[in-house]
Amino acid sequence: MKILVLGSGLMGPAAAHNAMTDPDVTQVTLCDMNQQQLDAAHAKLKGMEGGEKITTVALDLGDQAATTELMAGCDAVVAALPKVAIPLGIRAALAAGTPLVDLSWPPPEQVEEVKRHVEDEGGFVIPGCGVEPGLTEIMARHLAEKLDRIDELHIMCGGIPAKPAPPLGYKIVFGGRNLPLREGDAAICRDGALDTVPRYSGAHPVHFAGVGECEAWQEGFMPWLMELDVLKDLKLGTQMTVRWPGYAAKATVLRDLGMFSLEPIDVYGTQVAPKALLDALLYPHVRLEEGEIDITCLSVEAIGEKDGHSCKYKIEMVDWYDEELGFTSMARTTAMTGAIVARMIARGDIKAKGFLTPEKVITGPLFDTLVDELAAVNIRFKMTTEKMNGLD
Amino acid sequence: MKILVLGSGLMGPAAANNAMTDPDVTQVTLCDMNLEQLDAASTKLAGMDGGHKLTTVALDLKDQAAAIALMARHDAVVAALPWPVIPLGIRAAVAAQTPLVDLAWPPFEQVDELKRHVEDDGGLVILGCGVEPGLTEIMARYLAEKLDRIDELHIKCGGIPEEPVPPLGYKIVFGGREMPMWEDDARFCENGKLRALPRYSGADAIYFSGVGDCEAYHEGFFPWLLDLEVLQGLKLGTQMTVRWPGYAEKASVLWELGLVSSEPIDVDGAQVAPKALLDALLYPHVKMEEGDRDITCFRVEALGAKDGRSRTYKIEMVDRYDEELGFTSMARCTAMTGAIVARMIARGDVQAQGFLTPEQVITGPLVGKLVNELAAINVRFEMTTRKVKTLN
Repeated sequence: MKILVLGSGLMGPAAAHNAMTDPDVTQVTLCDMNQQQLDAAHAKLKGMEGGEKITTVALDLGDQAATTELMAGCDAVVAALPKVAIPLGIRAALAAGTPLVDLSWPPPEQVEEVKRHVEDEGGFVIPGCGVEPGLTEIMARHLAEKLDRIDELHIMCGGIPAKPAPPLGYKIVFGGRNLPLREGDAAICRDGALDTVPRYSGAHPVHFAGVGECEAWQEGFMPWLMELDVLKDLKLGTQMTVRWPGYAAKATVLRDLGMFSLEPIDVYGTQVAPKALLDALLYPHVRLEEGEIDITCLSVEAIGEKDGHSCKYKIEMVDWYDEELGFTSMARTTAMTGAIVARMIARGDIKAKGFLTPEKVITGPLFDTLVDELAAVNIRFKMTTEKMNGLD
Repeated sequence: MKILVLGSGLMGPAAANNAMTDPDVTQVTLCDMNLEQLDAASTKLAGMDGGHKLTTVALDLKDQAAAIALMARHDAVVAALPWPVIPLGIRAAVAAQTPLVDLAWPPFEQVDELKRHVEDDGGLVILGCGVEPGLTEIMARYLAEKLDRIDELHIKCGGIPEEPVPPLGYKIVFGGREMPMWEDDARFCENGKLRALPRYSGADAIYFSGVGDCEAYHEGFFPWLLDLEVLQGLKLGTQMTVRWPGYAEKASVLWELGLVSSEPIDVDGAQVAPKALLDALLYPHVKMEEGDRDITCFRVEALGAKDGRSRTYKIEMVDRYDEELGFTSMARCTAMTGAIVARMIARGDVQAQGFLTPEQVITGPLVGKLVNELAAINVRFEMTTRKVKTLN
């Protein structure tokens, strides 16, 4: 079994590592157009368990012929790419007929076209197969299907530094040099239909074991969750981001003032997008420095009815930076999830075709396999069940 | 008596109007390098009381010979200029030996040099002679000297729009297109010494009669107040800016993130100062529109002892947009104060020489005159006296 990982940035090396440790995997190829980054990743990975399986290839996805050829020799591809390069990765995977698992999503304006292309070519692409999107929806579906009837679904997830430092108490753990701050409204599900609320609204305290008091605020319900039969009549569905307290208030101020706008404005003759200036200004403060530890917090709560009683299921996960291997928790929970799913596909456990989000494929026994594989890398989920009985 | 007003922007026309209405003034000259703005001001002023005294002159202060010749024909100059050109006005006034009253201050880094220049060549320049700086310090000294001993001095002042509208509840009433937001720390006085504290901190609710609940936050104690003998032993001195509630929290976020910094940073290859982008982004939201009305809120409180008892004096002023003449309250309180002081000098009431702040000059009977002149244009102050005595 041969696995190809596209991208050697924050995520790719962790995906490669996960594939290397699988006895069924004979070769892991890591590629990037940035030779320096690729060499650093190679130096780090080759000393680890399964390091003899790693090969690196300098690859520019713009060279589609080389990319297609490389993919054709592999059983599955994990894409750990900047958003803009994702469509090139998918196009080559289709040409090569190799299944591709994308940790992220192509740019929103290209999704429809990419989807049509995948379906027309009869390929297999899983977009958004990380922690969120990814594990959050997989867990949501799992819990929703455990209930006889689901009324509410509340998803909370976020990556935070172990020590909150000014000015934002946040460090970038994915997405390059850009802060994950957006100006659009957040989606929420009410009575089976999507509605909107202001992004960063609804901030409330949330406690994670071993972490402490955090806050969670409206980020946006993943719309494809509503395509699941079991969630058709969901009364209330929210998806919130977890940060250290105080983040949402600051983000709200910046959002209200228009600082997240990607539309350039005239600044004494120079055209500058407010968000571009904000990213440049804040990067020195939000860059994850050597020795900094990150934490990923995840909570999925499903409220409804089971066996005639009110019932609530909650799955929680708190994951920490891997001190031994030097992988961020965000890379562990995101890239390793993608790598596990890619190996499932390569092994033939998943027979689906099309452009499918993870919760559409990772169900039943595959869900258990995923949880077991994550537990093997010490990413552990806890489930709490609350049942209510009438007292009479 | 002939008065020259430099600048026909937000402030100059109000200064000109104030001079025009004085029977002792025979000529008021208003000048600017922006002809369009100058013509608009001329049209507006021509129909007002004393309008026949008004002359306008197109003047570029860089033409120092012309500026000096013009100043030499006047008894006093009011400078209502943008910061960067103030030094040109002062230099010409010193050369012409005509006293100059500046509504603002020259750029910080040029102050020492200009001060030396004025002192070496002789002449009188009064800086910061508006509402704040200006009236605030004049009233502070006045109250401090009424007490036998002053312990605390609290100054609060600000210009706000009548209607607080998002995103900031603020409209620019002075200083061109730039938000009055600075990146350095605020100052307060503790036991006779200046100390720093975060700008926009200490935001407290404050009520102004007829206005309602506002907030006041630390902006910075004017250091020259500590040059006054009477304030040498001041235990606590604060100077706070008044805004509608919520402003300080937003400004704090911008301040903490470095968005009010004037230091250019690299944004995708372009050098852009965060504050320049912020000003450009916010200007459409904070520009005073036709029909917008402003309010100036002012409070100076002096706490100490008088006749062996605790005593507090408080002077308050709330001023509103002049519907009849169409002058903003900020222009009334600022420019008319400057014009009144310029007329005092032209009349010979002020004999001082040097580079002086208003509270060094406007004392004793001149305070009474200033207050009467301001009352004549309906800028009115109220004083509250509080005595405390023990019950036994």
